[in-house]
Formats: sequence, structure tokens, C-alpha cells
Amino acid sequence: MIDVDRAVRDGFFDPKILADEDLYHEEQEKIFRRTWLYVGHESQVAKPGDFLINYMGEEEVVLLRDPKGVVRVFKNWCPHRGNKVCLFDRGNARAFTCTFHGWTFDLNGKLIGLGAGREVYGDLEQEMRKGKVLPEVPKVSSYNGLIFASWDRDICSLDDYLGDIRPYLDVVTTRPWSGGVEVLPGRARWFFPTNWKAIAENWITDDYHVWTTHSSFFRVAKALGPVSPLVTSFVNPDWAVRHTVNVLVTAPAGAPHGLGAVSVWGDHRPGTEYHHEFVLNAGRHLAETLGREAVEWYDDSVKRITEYFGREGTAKFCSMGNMTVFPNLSLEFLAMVLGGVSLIQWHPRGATMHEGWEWVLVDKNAPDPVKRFGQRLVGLGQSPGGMIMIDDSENFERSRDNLRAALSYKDSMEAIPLSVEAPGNPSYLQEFEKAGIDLRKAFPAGKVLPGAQEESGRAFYNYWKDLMMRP
Amino acid sequence: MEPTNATCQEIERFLYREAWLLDNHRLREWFDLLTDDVRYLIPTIETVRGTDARYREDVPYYNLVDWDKRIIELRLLQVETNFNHSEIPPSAVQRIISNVFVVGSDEAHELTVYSNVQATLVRHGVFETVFKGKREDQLRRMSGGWKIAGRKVELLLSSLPRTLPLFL
Repeated sequence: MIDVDRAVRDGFFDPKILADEDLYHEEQEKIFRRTWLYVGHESQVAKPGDFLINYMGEEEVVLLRDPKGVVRVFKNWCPHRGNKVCLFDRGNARAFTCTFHGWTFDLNGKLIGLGAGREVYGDLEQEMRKGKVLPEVPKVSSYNGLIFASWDRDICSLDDYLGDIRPYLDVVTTRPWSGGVEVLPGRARWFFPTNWKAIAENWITDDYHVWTTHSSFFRVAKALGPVSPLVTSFVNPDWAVRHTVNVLVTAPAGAPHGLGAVSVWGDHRPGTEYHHEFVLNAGRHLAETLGREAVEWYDDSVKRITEYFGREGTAKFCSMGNMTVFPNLSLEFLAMVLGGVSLIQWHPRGATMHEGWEWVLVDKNAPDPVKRFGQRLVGLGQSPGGMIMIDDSENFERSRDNLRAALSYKDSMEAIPLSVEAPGNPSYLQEFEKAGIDLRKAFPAGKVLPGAQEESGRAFYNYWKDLMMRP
Repeated sequence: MEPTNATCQEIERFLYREAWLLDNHRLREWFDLLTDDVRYLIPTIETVRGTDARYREDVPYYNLVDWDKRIIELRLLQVETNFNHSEIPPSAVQRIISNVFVVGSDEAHELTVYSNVQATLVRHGVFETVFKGKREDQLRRMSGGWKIAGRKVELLLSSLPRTLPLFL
């Protein structure tokens, strides 16, 4: 068994932690049963009886709203022989019947009927029914419509777990100028070979990879026109580190969460006009192609988003390319009137595989053509069918091959440790200050870090180590 | 209503030629087989209680691919930058197109063409992934021959076996 204490230290980690099967099994208990995991959005289970399938780690769960309107989470697991009782990805139901022996469970998870109960159990029927329930996940809590659940009865509150990531989640998941968001139906699902940690860590710390891995996307994205002034500028690393930041949060309960490729509203240095242009004006020409209703909604939204961001002197969190909420929830968000928010879960599927699930959040009051456009925009970039994620999977497919080979070596930590040493250059933050941008004001929560740093990656692995070393 | 054997054979040959161009990375020649108003759609797949449909088109819905010709060209440009790492070295690809079933009359301006596609992608000679789906195309009769005015691919699996670098 891998010595976890040795496996993560001083900015290095043992490649085996991304490939070892025994360790992976330990993680199912120590990480996925002891943290808060995202399971769905309130808008997806709006009425009693509405249900949605998701995963907590490898365990399939049913998220539903019970007859009293309370959100509950159950394992999709018949206590008789372990069959699935919920056979659909989503829908509305008053009960779930297992097709094996006809056991029926209500929305409280209680067994309310059996097939041939009297014939099979006779007088024992009432007695043996007791305690036969769908296993219920004990802790369920919601933040801004995001529903999380945990198997750990003693876990801290969701607020303490999220900590200072909350103000950023507020902006990202409610789009405060919009009047609220909804999750579109349809979710992308994909596999590509990587341990879940490597991709979750990529989204908490790795702005660095963007210039090399995604160079082909940047080179063509400028052809998208004024929708993409952000990507036109970000392609230049010198520009990116001087005009974007990262934020790392350590929640009261210890979990690290972070965001990267973060742009700052109120930055008026040469080359940053795009922020304001992008946020306020990017897309009117696109709205025109979507019809009159879209243009009216667009113009109205511009008024509201202008009000939200306020007078141009005030520094404010504007957009971010990536965020990870420990352990395996990631989001991408651009503050623009058109467009959708990408919400991704990196589900573990073995030591060297993950299954990604992606949902798109759109402004719920927008007309349909605008919502359809929002999902198209997410789809062409940061999606398994799009032009960004394909180059990420290439990296991970190759390194998975190498990482499995690392398992052959007794002491891979000494021979070939992996590195998360990059410190980040604080002078980039000073440049913001010199330009009169108050980063403390723009990011009152968490620690502002320079663009391109791996401190967030170290925080991710260190907390993982902390959880793995608990008994 | 199905057209004559001659038309069906023409359509099959068109689809085989299209697949050959893509398998041989002749993307620009393939691009010329698309109409200017083409829509290329690959919906995400789900099972919903109360319906047999595996996706929706009547309401805003998250699609894996929902591209017009301009976006398709961006993907070509991406490969042509020679920095598209997921195509360096180029993938070895083999598409198998079968079960071609054409609906419409010989005189129709557009025909609906159903076919099955199985595309095997091999990266670095060793990493193999197979994509499987059912296609519904709108083929339009143009002066130079057939062109693809619409393609919808319904994947068999609800989870993509890998990110999707190729056209189905």
C-alpha cells in the first residue's frame, strides 16, 4: 500500500497516486464518502416527484423532491438484491418499483409494497419489511440552487465546506444581472483516461497549460470575432499573467477551492479595453442573428449588466476560465450577456479513468433562441465535442500510459516524482496595484495569486493527503 | 416512399466517397460537400421517463455538437494550424458506413438519408476508440452533385468513449 505521507511532499508527488488501484479504493471511502459532492440543481427537481440520476463517486444516486417539497438523495439500490430501482436519467414519479421482485419504494425511500408478499413471506411479511429502505444519503444541502450531498453524518455545514468560494459561486451560478439561471436538459457525458485528481487539479491551478495545449484553439478563436476578445488576448502569456489572476480559497473546514484565468472589471490598462467591450457589447451582432426578441432581451440585459458592474472605476471579479470546488466539481464562466455557464463533474471510474458530466446553465428568463445559442457556445469550446477539451484528453491519454508504467517501479517517488512547484510571480499582482486596481476590493474573499501558479495545485494534493491520512 | 435503385446507389457512392475523404484527412474537399446552410448536430443522449426519445429538439437542449458551416470551418482551421495536438501525429481513422436507407422521391430536391456509422480512431498506433451512431442526413441535389444540407448523429452510447476529434 502506498505511503501517502511520503507520496505527497514539498511540491512533489508520487505518480503512483494517479494510477494505483488500492489507493483508488481507499479514496472511495476517504474522499467520496467524506466530502460534500454536487448532485444536481434545484431547477432540475423543481416539483415533488421530480428526480434526477447522478453519481457520488462510483455510487449511483437518485436526487428527488419528496411530497413535502424537501430534496432527498438515495442510492439507486434495492435492499433485496442490489438492483437499480430508478431506470431513467430524469423524470417524475410517485414511487419506484424494482422490476426484479416487485418491491416498491415511495419518495421517502420506504418499502410500501412487495410482489407476492403474502405468498412468499406469509406471516413474516410485516416483520421483514421493517428497515427495508432505499439507502438514504444523510446530509443534503443547497447553495444558490446547487445541491450537495454527503455520506458523512459528522461533516461540517455546506457553508463551512464552501467557505470563501461562495462569493464567486454567487456570481457564476446566479449571474446576478439576469434574474436567475436554469440548467438546460441534456448533459454531456464522456470518458478519457485520467485519474480524477489530475483533471480536477488542472481546473484549480493550471492556467499554465493553456498556452501550449490550447494554442490551436486560440489561433482560430480570433476568427469568431468580437465574441472572443478574451481569448485573443489570453493567447499571449505575457499579457495573460499581467491581466488575469488566480484565487485560492481555504474553507473553514480545510477544503481548497480555486479559480483561474480570472479577469478583473475596472482594469483600464492598454490592452484591457476588451473587458468592458466584451462584457457590455460582445454579441449584439450575434443577438441580431437570433431575432428581434433576442435583440430586445439583449439590450435590456446590457442595461442590467452595466448596473451590476457599476462605474468603471470599481474593480470587480469579472470572468474566469476555470474553477474547482474540491474534490471534483468544476465550472467555467464568462461574464457576457450571451453564453452559458459550464458545470462539470469529474466522476472517478477506476484509477486511470474518469467520466465527465457537463451541464449548461443559462439565464432562465432569456428567450429560447438565446438559450439555444448559449449551449452552442459552450459546445464548440469546453465540451467533449468541442475544440478545447480534445487537446486536454490527448495529454491525459499519453500520460496515463506513462503513469501505469510507474506502477512497476518500487520507488517512483525517488526516480520520477511529479512536480507542482511553480510559485507564481507576485510582481504581476503589483502591476495591478500600480495601475490603481484594488485587488483586495475586487476579491475580498480568498487569496489572490498571480496567473500561472501551482500553489493551488499543492493545496489540492495536500488536502487530499490530509483526508487520506485520517483513520 | 423510396427513390429508384439508381438514386439509392448514387447516394451510397456519395456517402462512401465522403467517408473516404474524411478517413484520408482530405478535409477541405470534404468541406466542399456541405451546403452553406448546413447544420451538423449531435445531441446528448438521455433516457427520460414518459418518452422513448433519447434527446430533444423542441426545447433548448445541450447538444454535444450544434455547428453551422462557419464553426465547422474553424475546426478545419484548427487542424491546419499544425498545433492541434490531438491530431499530431494524425489519427488513423476508419469509418464504416452501412444500412443506407433513403426516403423521398427521385424528383425531390432534398432526400432524407439514414445510415449507420462506426468510426474507429487510433492515436499513436495504439490507443483505439470506436464511435458508433445512427445518422440522419438531408442530402440536397445541387448542380454539381449531392451536398449535405443537414446531418444529425444519434450516438449509441450516452457517454462518449473519448472526446470527439472527428466528423461522424
